Amino acid sequence: MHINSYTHSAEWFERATEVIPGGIYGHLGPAEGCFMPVSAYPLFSERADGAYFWDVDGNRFIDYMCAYGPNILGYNDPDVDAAVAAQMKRANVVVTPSTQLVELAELMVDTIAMADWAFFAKNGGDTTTFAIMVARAATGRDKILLHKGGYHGVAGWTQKDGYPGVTSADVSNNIYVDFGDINAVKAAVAEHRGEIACFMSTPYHHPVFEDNQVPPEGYWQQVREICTQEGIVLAIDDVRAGFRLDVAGSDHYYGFKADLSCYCKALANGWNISALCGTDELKDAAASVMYTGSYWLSAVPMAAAQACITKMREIDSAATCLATGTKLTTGLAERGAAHGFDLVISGEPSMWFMRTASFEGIDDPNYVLHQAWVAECVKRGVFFTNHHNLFINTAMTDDDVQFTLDVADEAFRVVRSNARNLIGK
Amino acid sequence: MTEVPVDQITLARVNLNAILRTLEKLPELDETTAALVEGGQETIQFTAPRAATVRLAIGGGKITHHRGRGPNTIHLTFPAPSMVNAMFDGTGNPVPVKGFRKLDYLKGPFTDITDRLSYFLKPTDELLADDAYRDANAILTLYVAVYALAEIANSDPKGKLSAERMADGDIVIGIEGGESLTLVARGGKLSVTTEAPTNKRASMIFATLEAAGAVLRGEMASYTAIGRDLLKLSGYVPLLDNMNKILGLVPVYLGEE
Repeated sequence: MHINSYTHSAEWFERATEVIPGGIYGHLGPAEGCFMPVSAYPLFSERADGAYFWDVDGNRFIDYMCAYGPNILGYNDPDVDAAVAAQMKRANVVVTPSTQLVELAELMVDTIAMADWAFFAKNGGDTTTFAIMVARAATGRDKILLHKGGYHGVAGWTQKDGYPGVTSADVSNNIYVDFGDINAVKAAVAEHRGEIACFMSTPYHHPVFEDNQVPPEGYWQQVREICTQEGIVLAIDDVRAGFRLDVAGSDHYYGFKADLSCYCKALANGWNISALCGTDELKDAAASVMYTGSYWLSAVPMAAAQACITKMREIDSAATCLATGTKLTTGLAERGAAHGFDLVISGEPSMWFMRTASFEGIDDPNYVLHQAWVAECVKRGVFFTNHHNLFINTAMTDDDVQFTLDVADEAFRVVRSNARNLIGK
Repeated sequence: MTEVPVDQITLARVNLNAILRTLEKLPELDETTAALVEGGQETIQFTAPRAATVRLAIGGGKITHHRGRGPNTIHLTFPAPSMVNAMFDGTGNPVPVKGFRKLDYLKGPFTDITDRLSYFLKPTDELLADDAYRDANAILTLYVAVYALAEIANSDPKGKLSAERMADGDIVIGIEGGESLTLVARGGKLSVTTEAPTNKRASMIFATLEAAGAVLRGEMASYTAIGRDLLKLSGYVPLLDNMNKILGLVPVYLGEE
């Protein structure tokens, strides 16, 4: 198999370091712990199409990060792009909003089971912060209940005390419980009765660096009941999982109804828009909060979102991604087992998490084997990250899955030859 | 720009446990220091209530750093942690309680030794033009930074928050094929050993001594070094992630901000 080299990526990175802090910042950057070793990874892309992207060295990758989620229908989806092109000829950012705003809100309300209204912004973090503000406006309470390790963006309240730029005051109203521990939820609510404005959570637990957890049977139903009894707004951060479990919302998938739901990523197949959906009870509170941004009413991403949602409904994107993910992850685990590796798959198949837990019965709790195997896959054109959940899109075909399994097989074979040395056993 | 507040107790611990401990490495790298420590043994105890008590044994060709009180020939006390810091920045003096007749040693050979460390830790463009100096600067800066990291993790309010989030395990920090130190995380506290790890869970390895020096001197951002594959991270990332949060506080205490 062809082994990639990244000469031009390195050259562009050098240029970037001259004028950009860190060269590439944030989650797409090489310093965030998702690209290990960095030498295995491309740093800049040149073009993309369907399930694939090509880097600036001409290497092709099947993208199992899907741009960290937005790519749900495949890059350059013709239906979404046609809607974008049509709206671009009309207008984008104007002093009054386009009617795309209304049509998109109507479509969201028609699509998302819990939604009576929709409010649009740009990034997932815009909507999680807005959800907290709406909950506080509605309840007059300060505190928020969160699951430990849950990711809700980068605003101060979502981070940890002691992190650069984060003050104790930023997180002083946060209460944390373990995901799936209903007794911990009950205890926290009892201890802070009448103080908690919002319980925010992802629909299932998909942190980085650890196995993902689907909710225990009945967990959400009990949480829903507690929140209703205690007057706590239940907000689901569906930014990452939205449309990959159920086009009607991940709360719908797990059989409960959220009061607020946050969407972004897959909403417009890569066009920049996010949404907070809510129930009628919270509509006035949402209207009362001053919350806006320069580009939040831009019409082109709204046109993209409408085309994307319409297509996701037509083809049932969630069912497609779940089926492809099941086929792929089953195959990956089988390839690993054939070489003596225990590849542990967790979370939902459409956005699974994986780690190489052991080799021939020898545990590797430090991810060294996994980092080595992922690196060999990336060098052969399968773009995985080490410790983040991965994503499926609807453009991926059976041939793509087979190509991935072939690469995975060879990568396991390569790592096997050095596995004991890597784990020091 | 406004300076980040420095906790005086933490700074005193950095001075006593990181700066002084780095002296251990100096005779290996500097012939002048090696000559200064050839003579008979002197053991200086530094006692700073609320900060640290350490002893520095100098003689027989080496310098060794010891935590806690013990046999000594010279005993200096610092009633307040800020007095430790004043001595290290040259604006104050300790109170000698033992070894009055050895004040000449403190003002003479000991000062000469600490001046040599300052010489290597405070580079100029002219000095860095010399390869041997560059190498010594990189190694000593690595040592002082890692030693300081552990002190900050155990004492600074923000450092403690990150340290408490660290799982038990050893992180190897070093230079490929060269110097390395082991940062040991146990029960939310950090320590440093020059021994090989017993429970290695992660590593942060500079590709070359040159790269280490460039990052540690602030000539190259660590993010840039990672992107250039000159600083290689491996293993259990949550350990590295929290360690890096503490590493970000090191320049605050070593006066590099």
